[in-house]
Amino acid sequence: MATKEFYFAIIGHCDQPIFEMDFPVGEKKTKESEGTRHLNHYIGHAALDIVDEHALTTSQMYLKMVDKFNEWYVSAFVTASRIRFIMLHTHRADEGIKQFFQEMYETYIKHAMNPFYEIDDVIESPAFEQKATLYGRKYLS
Amino acid sequence: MKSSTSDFLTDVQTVNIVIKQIGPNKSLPAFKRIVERCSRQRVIQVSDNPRRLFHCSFIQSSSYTEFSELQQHRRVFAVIGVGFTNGQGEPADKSTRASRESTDSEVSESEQISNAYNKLKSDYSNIICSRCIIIGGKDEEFDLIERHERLCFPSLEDATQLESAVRELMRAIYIVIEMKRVDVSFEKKQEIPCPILPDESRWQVGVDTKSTKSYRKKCLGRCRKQHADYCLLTGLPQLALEAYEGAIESLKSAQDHLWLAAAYDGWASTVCILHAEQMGEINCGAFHRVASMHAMLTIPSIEINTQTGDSLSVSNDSVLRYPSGNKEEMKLQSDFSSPQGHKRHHSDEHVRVTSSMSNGIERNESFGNESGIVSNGSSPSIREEPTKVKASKGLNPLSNFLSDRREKPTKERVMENFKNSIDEFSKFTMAGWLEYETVMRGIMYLILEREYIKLEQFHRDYTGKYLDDSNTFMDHRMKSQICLNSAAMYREIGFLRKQAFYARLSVLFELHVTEGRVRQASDYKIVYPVLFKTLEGYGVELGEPHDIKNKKLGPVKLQIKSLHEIFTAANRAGHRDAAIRHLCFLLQVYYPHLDSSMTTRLFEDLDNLVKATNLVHQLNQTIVVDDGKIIIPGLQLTRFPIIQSPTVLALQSNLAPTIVPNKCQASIFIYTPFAKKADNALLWVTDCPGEVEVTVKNCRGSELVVKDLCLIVEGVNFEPVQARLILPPEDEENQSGSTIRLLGVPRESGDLFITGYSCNIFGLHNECRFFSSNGQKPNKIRVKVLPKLARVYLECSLPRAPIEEDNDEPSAEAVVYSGQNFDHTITVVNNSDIPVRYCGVKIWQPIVQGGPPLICLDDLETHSQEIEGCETTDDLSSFTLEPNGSKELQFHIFGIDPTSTADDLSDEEKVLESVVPLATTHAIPNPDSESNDMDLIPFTGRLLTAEFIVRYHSDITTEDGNSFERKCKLPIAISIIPAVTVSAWHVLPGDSPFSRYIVVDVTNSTEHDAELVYSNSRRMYVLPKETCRVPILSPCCSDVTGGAFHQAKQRGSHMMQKMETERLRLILENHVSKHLDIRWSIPALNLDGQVPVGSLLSSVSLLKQLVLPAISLDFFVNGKQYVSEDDVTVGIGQFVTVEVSIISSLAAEYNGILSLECEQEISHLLGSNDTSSFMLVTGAKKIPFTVDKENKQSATFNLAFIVEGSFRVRPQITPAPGQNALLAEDMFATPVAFSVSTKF
Repeated sequence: MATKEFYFAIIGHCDQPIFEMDFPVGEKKTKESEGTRHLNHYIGHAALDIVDEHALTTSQMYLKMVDKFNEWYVSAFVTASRIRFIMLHTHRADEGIKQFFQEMYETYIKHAMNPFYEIDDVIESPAFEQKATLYGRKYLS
Repeated sequence: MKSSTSDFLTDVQTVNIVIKQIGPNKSLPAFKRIVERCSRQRVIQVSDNPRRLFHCSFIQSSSYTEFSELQQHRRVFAVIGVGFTNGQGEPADKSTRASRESTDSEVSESEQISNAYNKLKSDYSNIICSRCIIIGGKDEEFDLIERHERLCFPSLEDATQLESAVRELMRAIYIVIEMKRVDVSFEKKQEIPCPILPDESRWQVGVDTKSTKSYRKKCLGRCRKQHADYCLLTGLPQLALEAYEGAIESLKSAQDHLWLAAAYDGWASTVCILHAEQMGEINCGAFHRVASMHAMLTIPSIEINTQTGDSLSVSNDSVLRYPSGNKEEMKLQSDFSSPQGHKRHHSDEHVRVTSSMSNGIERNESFGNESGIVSNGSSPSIREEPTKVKASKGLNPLSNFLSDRREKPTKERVMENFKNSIDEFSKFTMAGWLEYETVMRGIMYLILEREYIKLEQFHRDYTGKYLDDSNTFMDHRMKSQICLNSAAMYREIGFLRKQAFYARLSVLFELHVTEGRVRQASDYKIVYPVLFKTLEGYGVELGEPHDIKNKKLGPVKLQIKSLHEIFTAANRAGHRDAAIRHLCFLLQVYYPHLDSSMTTRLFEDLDNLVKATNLVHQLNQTIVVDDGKIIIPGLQLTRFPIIQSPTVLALQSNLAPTIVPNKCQASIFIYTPFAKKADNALLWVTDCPGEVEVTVKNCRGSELVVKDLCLIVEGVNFEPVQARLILPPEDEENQSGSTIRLLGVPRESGDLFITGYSCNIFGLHNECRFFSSNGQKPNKIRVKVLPKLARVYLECSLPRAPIEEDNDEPSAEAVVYSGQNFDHTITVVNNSDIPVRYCGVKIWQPIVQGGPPLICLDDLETHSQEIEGCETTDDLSSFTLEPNGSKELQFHIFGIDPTSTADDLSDEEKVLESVVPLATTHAIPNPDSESNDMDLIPFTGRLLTAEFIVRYHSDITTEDGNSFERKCKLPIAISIIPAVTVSAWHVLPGDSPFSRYIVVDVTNSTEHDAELVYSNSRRMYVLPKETCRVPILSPCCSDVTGGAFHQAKQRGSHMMQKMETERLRLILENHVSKHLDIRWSIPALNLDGQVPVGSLLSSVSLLKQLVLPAISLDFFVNGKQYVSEDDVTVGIGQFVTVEVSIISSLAAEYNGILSLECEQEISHLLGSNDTSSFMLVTGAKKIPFTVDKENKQSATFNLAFIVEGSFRVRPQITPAPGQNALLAEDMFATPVAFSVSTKF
């Protein structure tokens, strides 16, 4: 695959994605990309077993690359409250992903501190999306 | 197909025995039973010390037997033919039967079986032993089969010796393999036979030179490999380990890659087996883990530690009970542990296990002893191993030839050897499957080690290539199988999400369509169970009742997709019911998450499925698919429609019973609020329809038709009434839904529990429970059903006129003229076959303050015998009623003046009291005090309502003495047409101080002349729409003292004041009503009646004026009594003698001074002014007096007027010191009017 593709998802406690974003941002959603998104869901969901296993054996939040299926690598980050950040990527970019996760973690904490937001609810904040886009551009290119 | 990952491991120590059906007759169920019975004998103990187990597997087909030289566990060692004689089995097909009949004469059945058996034996040429099980045949008929191979049983039930025969066969195989095992002569031989694979020469590169050392090593290595295999098969894994090491040594140097791969694999697998035997029970419980992070968070850490502690408590006994490789028992064990829920073992658990294992021994070295007994803390462990090995040398002839410098099997070395084996196998394309099996054994080892992260990585690294599109050696079915194995493996370790992923992948491979092939229903039948098992991985719980408000569903998109896939698979596989169930589940749980196009499509699919057959799908029933392997629980389709907030309604007021407690039974409580709760709130009656109110909502965008909607109850026999609803589409206005009532008739008494409802929706039968408002607990509403009670109703021939819209009780209407009397009858009917032991009649009607009541029963005195515990005091009449009996009551309606009822308090249409003020008297009520008056006048209205109320007790008594009361009512609307009514009145002084004129303005509201008769015989005619004034002379009432009303107002409370006023009013009413008898008749209409004077009689201000005042003054002018208001004409300066007679009604003596005052009236409006200066009084101007009830006194004044005009002379009483001042109402005096003129 020529272009670097990333799919970022924040997974709640019931394995439900509460935030999703594809990088690079702004590309038109074709039928094919919808299909890929679907495949990403499956791969990301399957990787959660490994993420949970890693989370139990290590104190690190950033779990590096935990899984792989076909061309998709799966990196993960587990927050203190056991919210899981999943990144599916076609190219290795450990350092960038790590920094992206860190920044998103901070953004997520700020968002979670909003008294109107309940843990595990879907994140629909445009500001959060904007931040994710910004960090995506910065670290995942 | 492997049902478990451990099968890959146990296979290497298992001997294969092929079992097949033979002969012309087949019986699959019987054959399955035989295979099952044989399989129960798959492990036998062949030696006690050391304990050796011999494993056999009874398979119906063998695969990769071409590698049986390379890996002895692939070899078929024995065959078992199973034949059924005619009567025990059925001919395979009709053509067979026909051919059999035609050839019966030529070849007998026994010969056919014998031939088939011999053919089976010839198919497996390398077998050691064989047996032929014949069900239904006689032993002597099968001479063609060797005697020791025949196992003839008359029937399957009588085959009691089958198990022992199978065990004997296994022993026979064991002995042969054991003999091969002990034969290690190849070690000493100069020319070692070289075991080769059937087609080895084809792919072998180059030619072997038999004289070379390398060739000898190759032969030796291969023989050692085979020897090791035999050791493993005969239950000596420790020896096998040593033999494999020897084989690896030789084969490595001989560069014999395929055999080296097999030897590596054998070695590592043997270590695994030893390890599994040691770990055995620990691992069985280890494969359960949490499915989600959320659940994991809730597990207290202590639980994990406890679990770890438990896992260490392994006893030798338990291992003996559950020998490793015993799949069923392992499964049983795992099933046991699963209900404990969410047990989880860490990947790093082995570290703790190691550290906690006794003696600080490295766990990786403790692989158990030869007997396979687990080494726990107390059992012999690695320190004793050298001794153990020495001791076992007697068993292992090969050990003499092998070096003692063997490496200990560390974890790394085991994995390294697995990897070596895989690498070596990978050099041979045709050994691809062998390589894969090695991978799976490696994975099994990591499972035993609980190295889940490493396992996942190992699995990913080594199985990925098999699934790759470039792998053409394996077809899509094999790839599917690989994925299935991975799924099973992940399931074992509790990685349910991974399991779901691989299971789904296997389905994709399974359904892969090669050219020219179309997917069949059979393909979907295969994939359906696989997909079904992925649901758990995606967090879909089919069994739990779904709350439609539940927000925590999990990965919704994946769940929808997977459920849709399952629905499609079930549909195409022909599992119609399962497809409907999955579709309904999808709609029930995920409706808000589905887009409109998908929803439409799903509903269309559902419609098509339902229409496909006439059979109604029962959503509440469990569905069994795939021979009971899949059980789909029932579903409550609570979303279509949403039926909530069930409220049990009490029966209609005329049917609602109340429990009348038995008062004879003395309660232990003087008062208790609990005793008051007589459960009167929710009472239903047998055979009386009850109602439950529910809110129904349609969440669909289109119309929803709900058929056969009815209640589901428990407890007593109940006949629900089915309803049919057509719910409009959901819109913004119709958010809250509509309220409907579900009906049902209880058929017996007792406690009724309303649990839910059933309906037919989308052509499906749906049963749902009611849930509490928070959606957690099932809502079970208890209703007490009383026995069948009598039902009484009131019948009246008056026309029916419903008064209230929602009241379907009978009602009546009557029209009377005011003052008219109307007689009628009412019938109380018992229309049940239950007698009524008490029936009390009451009338509710407007309270009339004065005059006759609106309705009056004629036979008030009728009373039945009193019933204990029954309040009868208020009842006007009471009686009993026989079954289907009735009672007629007579009553009359009096057309009261509608203005005189106490119920209507409208201020607008007041009938005003006389506007003519009694200006000449002091008795005029003070306007300021009028507002506080206790007057009851302000009434109006033309339509009056009254009610007959009948309370009745059925002749049924419960065991505790309670009886049941019901009420029925008959409302009557009485419209009163005004005929001749009182419009105004006022009181004037009478012909003496002791009488008054009540002047009544009577209005004729009719269109005809009315004749009035009053004061006995006086007559008067009133023209239509005209008013005439009727003077009625009434004596004053001496029963009420003058200050009585004033004293009543001094009472402590408003209520006391009111009561006292009412008491006084009643006395006065009785006094006055005798004189107020004005009768009217309208000859044109042939009507007559009484002028209703209720309003007068209720007027306190009127009645007050008829009280005899404390002091009355009577005037005599020039010796003549002054009786009227006619002026006395006098000239200026002319003296007149005015004698005042002072009369007292007071019991006590009253002292005062009497004087006269003169006033001149200016006008009605401006009143009058004091003109005492125009009046000249000679003699005493003030005369003292003393009066009491007996003695009256007179006072005479001489007066003359000095100014012309009209004057009024009124007396003025000044009380003597010590006397109370007289109130205006206490004194009655008519002023004397003088007309003074200059001329006389």
